[in-house]
Amino acid sequence: MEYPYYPGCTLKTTGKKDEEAALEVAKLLGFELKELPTWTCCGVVYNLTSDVMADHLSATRTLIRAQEMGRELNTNKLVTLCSMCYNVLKQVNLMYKNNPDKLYNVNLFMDTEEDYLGNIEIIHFLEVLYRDIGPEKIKEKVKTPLKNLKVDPYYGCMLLRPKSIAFDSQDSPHVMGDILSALGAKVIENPMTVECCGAHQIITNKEAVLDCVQRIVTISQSKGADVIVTPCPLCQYNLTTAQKSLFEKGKINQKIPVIYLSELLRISLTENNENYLKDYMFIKDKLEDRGGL
Amino acid sequence: MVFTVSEKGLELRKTVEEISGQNIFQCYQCGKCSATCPVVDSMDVAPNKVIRYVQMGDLEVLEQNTFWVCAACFTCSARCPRSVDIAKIMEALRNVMLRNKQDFINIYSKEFIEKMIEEIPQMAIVAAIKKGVW
Repeated sequence: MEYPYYPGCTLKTTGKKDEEAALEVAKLLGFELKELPTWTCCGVVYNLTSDVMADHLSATRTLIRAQEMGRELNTNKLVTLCSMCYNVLKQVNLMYKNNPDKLYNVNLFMDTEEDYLGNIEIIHFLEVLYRDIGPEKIKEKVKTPLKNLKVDPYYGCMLLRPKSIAFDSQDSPHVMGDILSALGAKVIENPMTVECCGAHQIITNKEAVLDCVQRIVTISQSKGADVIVTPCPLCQYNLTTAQKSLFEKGKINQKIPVIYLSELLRISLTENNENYLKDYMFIKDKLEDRGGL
Repeated sequence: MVFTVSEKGLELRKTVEEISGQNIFQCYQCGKCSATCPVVDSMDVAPNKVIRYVQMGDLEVLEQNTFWVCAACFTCSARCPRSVDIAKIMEALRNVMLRNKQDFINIYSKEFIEKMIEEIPQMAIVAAIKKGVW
């Protein structure tokens, strides 16, 4: 199975690890993510006003690219790895579905592009893992069970809100938990799992981000998490850097590593994972301490 | 007691309703949005109060930092018992400011340019610019 895949800007820079790991995990699980040959920024945040259409154009261009590639691969799906891309593309797509007149106008406006027909389906990498592959099949392919590793899955906002685009329960999501259980990890229930990390406020109001992260991490810590996993590159960045600042200020007494879910999947699914484990000494240590490996 | 709303106040209320597509009087001031907001501690006034200001047509609302601090995480919108999309109202207030050429971020300032040099993911930079610059 081949899926058209839209990386987005951050997965090529600070989120590189996520992309590398996810592409490999896809191969290990028997599907392929084929990057769109050309793509532009998705817009990052969905414009919430009712009278500005220009902000939706960049996302629309990506949808048209997906439509072109979908014809070749005979699919109407587009996979994203980044939560914010998922959110924006899906909301723009939904807006066109609910307002065909807006789609008509946009198609008239973008006269150098082919018309967008409005039938692309945006799915997140997690959805492919959960719906198309399934935790049971993942379990069969596990080479290194992450026995005794306590993992705190952190979803953040953009995958679950607003409700119209959520692919899992808004208040008690279970998709990541089920996948992690399939890997043999011990999943921690953190009530802050769907809370916001502060998002782009990291630029204009760092204190707000520190507050948010402190609340999330304190509970994670008290529940004894070894590692926090997230699918979002901005959450990963915010949680990591804010923990550094909080630690320096003495507001938390321990830093918890924050990695992408795909990284953990790669460690668990690869046969000779020594190479990868090198970069994740905390996992190796934890697994060995408790007689896991 | 009789409240009078100034002409400009009425205009603001109308503009906010138009841009957001929300009925501002749908809100009955329960405060759920403020209780659930993750960044409420950094706000001048709580989100439900901002809505009250708009309901009353009070122009002081534009001097508060609340809608700039809003991270558009949709928690309030998801949990509002009256189905008011508060995130859209915050966006409308941001737009009222931006369309009057009152940007929140100066992208040419030294402070902002220094941020670009740090290893901040570009998605954060683009998001901040889209929310704070016209």
